[in-house]
Formats: sequence, structure tokens, C-alpha cells
Amino acid sequence: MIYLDNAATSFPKPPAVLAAVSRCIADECGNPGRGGHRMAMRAAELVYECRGALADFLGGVAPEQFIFTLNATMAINMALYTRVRPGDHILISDMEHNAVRRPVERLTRAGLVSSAVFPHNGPFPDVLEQCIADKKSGILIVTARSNVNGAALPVQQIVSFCRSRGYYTIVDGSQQVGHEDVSLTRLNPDAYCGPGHKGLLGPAGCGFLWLRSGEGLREFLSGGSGFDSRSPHMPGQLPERFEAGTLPTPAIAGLREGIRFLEGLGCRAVEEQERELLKQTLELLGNIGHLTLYASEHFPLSFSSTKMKAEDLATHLDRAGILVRAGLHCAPLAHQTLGTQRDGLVRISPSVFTRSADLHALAATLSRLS
Amino acid sequence: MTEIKLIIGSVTYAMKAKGLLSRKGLHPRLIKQTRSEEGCTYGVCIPEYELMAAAALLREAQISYEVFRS
Repeated sequence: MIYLDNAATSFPKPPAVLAAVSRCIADECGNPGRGGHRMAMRAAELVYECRGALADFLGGVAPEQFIFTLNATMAINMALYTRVRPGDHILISDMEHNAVRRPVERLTRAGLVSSAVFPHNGPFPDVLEQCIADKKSGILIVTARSNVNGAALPVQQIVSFCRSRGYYTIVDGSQQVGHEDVSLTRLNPDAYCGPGHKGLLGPAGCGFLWLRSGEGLREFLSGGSGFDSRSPHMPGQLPERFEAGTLPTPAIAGLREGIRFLEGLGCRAVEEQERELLKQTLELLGNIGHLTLYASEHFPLSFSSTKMKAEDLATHLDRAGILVRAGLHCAPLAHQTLGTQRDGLVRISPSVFTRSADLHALAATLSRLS
Repeated sequence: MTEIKLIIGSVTYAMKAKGLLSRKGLHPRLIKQTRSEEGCTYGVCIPEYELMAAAALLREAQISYEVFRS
């Protein structure tokens, strides 16, 4: 079996991830931050170690700035809903995932905010200047990398410009984190959202929201926080202010090991491997006449075929043991931008475990299509 | 040996304090308390002779605490 759907969720996971999840459930799964007994304290240590691992991996920021969520979608919603004010103007790019588009659409339809979409290929800062116009207060939400064709936006420049205009900046790092070196101190947004189960190689059930500060943010989920219980409100400080209820400790334990595995490889090595795989993929698939490629300098890469519709082609590949995702990839806005919204595309997204032979097998199967 | 409790608040900040004090060669132990004002709270327990050093380190790291002598 050849798994090429790592943009949806990564597979396989490093053995240490499986071991950590299993060990946590077997021996260490007290409720972190709820009790004082040894299992609860051990679980609290696991959670804190993972916060620390994220902090080190993403540029040496503070562990307590990381809030654990269910996934990146929850992180994005949390970043937006805790901050948005009536009358805000929200900017998004034309390549955003529904995790960004849908909550913005919901707020816009409710008449609470106005919104604008800017082209992902700029020119910057001109297109931002036009979108902002005279609107003084607002929020930028931007993906670092498209989940359809890997297009990388110049997020550092975009964030810097919007911050200089007083906009609150949220970056969706779902397809970036774990695939390239990310420094939150260099990128400098107000919020950064990521999944634990894609490039970071952790299990599903865990994502994170990094916040520069919790100042001025309203509560999102309200419930038990494990301390300061007599207060009717959520605690004021990060991260517990935004972590009501029980955390997914086994997933967090697994995520910590995923990060450790990537640290062992090194970000540069991961980037280099992906660059090489992309080069090979472009050469192999570029020679297949019935394919049209939608590619950039990074994975994911998508394509269409004149011989079969995307979903049928994905089914055909599945039968051949090659697992890909077809359709609109929960990003109809991106497909609209690419002009592929009618039938969607077939998307391939490798991981650190993908080998050159896997891509050769994909190309061979596509070549044999009659 | 007499121990002193430094009550900090969240388990996250208690863990942060524990890590900081351990790295500096002190001997903190994570604890949980229930207090009448706030309810549940976390902190660290240290030997009394380490109090001055711990207090300085926590102040520098901007981790607020309350001393509780049992």
C-alpha cells in the first residue's frame, strides 16, 4: 500500500508515537491538572513536556502560550471567535480552507463583520492595501500553504503589513508545520494554528493554538479548568483560559514523540527530502500526457486527467493500492481560484516516509490508464 | 526536614516553576492544594532552606506565588 494522503492525516506514524500513546493509556492516563495523585501528576508532566516540545520546535517561544485543541479547525475558530468584534473587517486569501472560509462566512452573513478576499499571488502589499482600504479594525486569517497545490503565501510579509495596520493576525499553519522550519518569533503573528496529526506526525485528536497573548480575548469554551474552581469564570491566564475540560492526553503524548522524531531528522533534511520528491514527481507526472498538474514549489500537488474524473481516478488508484484524496479537499475557494471547482482534482501529499519508488509506482499506474 | 509550599495556581505554571527550580539545582516537588478562597490550586514544595533562592528565581521568571507554611 502506498499512502499519499498525508495532507489529510499522516501515515504511518513513527513507532515511538504508537508506543507513547499505548503507554499513556496503559500506565499514565490520569487527568492532567485535575488531581494530586501520581497518575494525574504524570499526565500533567506529559502535557507540559509536549507544550515545551512545541515551544522549542517553533522558535523558542514559551510553553504556556500553546493551547491544545481538537485540531487546527478548532484552533482557527477559537482564534477568530475569541477576538472578533462587531464591525471588524476580515481578510482572507483566495486559497483558504473551509476551516477559515466557513466561520468568516458565518460572521459576515450574520452582519457582524465585513470581509474581503485577496489573491494569494499578490502583488503585496498592494492587494492588502486595497482590501483594507479605510477599514481600521480587523483580522487577517491566512494560510501559510495551500492544501490543494502547496502554494506558499509570503505570510511573514503579509502578517507584518497587516499588523502595522492594526489588524489581528492569525496564520493557519496546517500544511506548513512539520514540513519546513517555522519560527513564531520570526513570523510574528498574533495567533498560529496547527494540527498535531499531519506534518507533526502525532495521532488525530490533537491540534494547537499558539497565542502571543491572551489579553482582551473572550472565553471560548467554558468549563472545568482544574484550578481556581470557585470562580464562575474561566481563569485569566494562558493556557488554561482556553482549555476547558479534559485534554486528549494520549494524543498529546503521541504528538510529543512525533515532534521528537522530526527533531531527530532535522527540519532542513525534511525540507530537502520533500524538495527532491517534488522534483521527481513533476518529472514523472509531467511526462504523462493526459494529466494537467496544479503544482507549486511545495507539496501537496494536484492533478486532473482527461481520461477519468478525479473521484473515479482516486478509486482506480485505491484499487491499485495507492491512496490519494480527490475532490474539493474542503477548499472550494482554492478550487474556484484554480478553476477546478466543477470536478475537483486528485491530490498527492507525501510524508517523511514516502520513497521515490512510491512515486514511480504512482506514475506507472497513471501511465497505464487507458 | 521542613518543607515550604509555594502556591502558584495552574498546573502549567506549577510545572514551569518546577522545571525552572530543578534546572537551577533546587529540589521542588509538584503539589496540589485545595484552598477556601480559590478552590483547587497547584504549586511546588521545597526544602525550607531553598526558599530564598526559589523566591528570587520565580520573581525573575515572573511566576507569582504565595508562601504557605504547613
